[in-house]
Amino acid sequence: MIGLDFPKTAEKYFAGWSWAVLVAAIATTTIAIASTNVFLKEPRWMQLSGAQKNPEPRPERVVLRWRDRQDPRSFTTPAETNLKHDSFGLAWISGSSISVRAKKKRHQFQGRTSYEFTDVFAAQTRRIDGRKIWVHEYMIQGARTGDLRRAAAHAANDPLVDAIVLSLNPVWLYNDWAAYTESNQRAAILGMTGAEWGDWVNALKFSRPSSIAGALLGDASILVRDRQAIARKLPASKSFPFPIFAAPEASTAHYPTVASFYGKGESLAPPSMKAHEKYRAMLLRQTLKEDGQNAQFFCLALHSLRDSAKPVLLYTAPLPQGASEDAELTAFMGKWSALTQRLVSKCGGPNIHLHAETWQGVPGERVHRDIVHLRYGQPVIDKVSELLVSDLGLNVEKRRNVMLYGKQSKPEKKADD
Amino acid sequence: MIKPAHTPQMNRQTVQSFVIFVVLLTIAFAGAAIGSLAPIDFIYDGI
Repeated sequence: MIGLDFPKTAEKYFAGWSWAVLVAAIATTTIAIASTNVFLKEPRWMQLSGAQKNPEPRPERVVLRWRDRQDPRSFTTPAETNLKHDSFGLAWISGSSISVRAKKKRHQFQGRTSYEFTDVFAAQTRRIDGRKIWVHEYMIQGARTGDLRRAAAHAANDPLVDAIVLSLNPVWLYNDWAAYTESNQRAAILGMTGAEWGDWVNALKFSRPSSIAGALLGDASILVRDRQAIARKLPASKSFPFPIFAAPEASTAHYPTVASFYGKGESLAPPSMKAHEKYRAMLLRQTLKEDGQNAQFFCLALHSLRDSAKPVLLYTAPLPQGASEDAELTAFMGKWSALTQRLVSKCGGPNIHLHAETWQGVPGERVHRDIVHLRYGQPVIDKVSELLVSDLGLNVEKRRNVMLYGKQSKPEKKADD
Repeated sequence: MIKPAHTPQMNRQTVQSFVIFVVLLTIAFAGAAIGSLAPIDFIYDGI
């Protein structure tokens, strides 16, 4: 008991209120919340909360632009990177297919078993178009096409980004069983430059009303935009568990097994793809229609990329070597590539260069962990680097004598590197 | 002469209740904003 009789207290304070006073009080509160930016300066800890461990430039010249999936802000702002626009910014947007987990020592990148393509690309590239590079990594764990659309809008409108590489996932690009990864960032697109009516429709379809309100008020109010950062600072106790950070017990109840999508035997893979049978089945379950949900997300992403007029490279994350021997998969990926080409023609522009065919692989050694994740994938990085030159017309200057792989110490770099 | 409806005492009480209302509404708003954040575990559902 807190010793208050609420009806009596309310009577005491509010009985004499007219509707005009009530409206004035609500208006005052709204203005006070919406105008916090005027009298509140965002401290650095708020900016960096939810950013990756080192959001500032790393020695490898990779800057991580993505935030924790808990944080509604989605990506870091140019100011938060502390970068000046005197370098060449290459954004690399992808799900986890650019994350490599090496098993063998000879596949470790400068002694690291876990790394991203972006780390390797930045280490092996000295300059682009005569300028030192920064690779802006937009990696979203479990990215689905709705998430890629948001990243594309951000990179397209980011003044630090000069060119964009977007990795297309052959399993999920058109897979309407999943539109977004699990996150608090789904509605963030509404607060970004380049949001279209289609984004509003998608936000209403897939986002919580509170997320939509937060995205819309975020620009006006630091308190709203940085609510995750503030929440992290609040003391939570067992007796008053607020805010709630503990995720509920994992449940698989919402996710039917892959086999249940199929009739008996339909999900069976030929021997060359037997090891990847479940993901292969998921791949074949995509909706290859221009009006499919994820095709619409992709189209919106292409709009942003087109409007940016920045050079853009789209490539498909390669499938395992056995994929080309799988007749059903090959036929499906032929249709997949044709749809992608149609959408790029319809929704994209001349600045967008598509290489959907890389699903078949690229020349050179490639070791797969699963259908798109790798234990070694240097040829994919080399292929992207080659296409930046041949298709995007960029002048990519590589570093000489840089040891990339094997368990060794990182080579010393010169001061001007 | 009719006494005016808004005596100084009434005004003081209205201001007091106005401030209480604004503070409570702000707290409710902040609570809703923070409370609406879904806790998310790291999930590796893939790819």
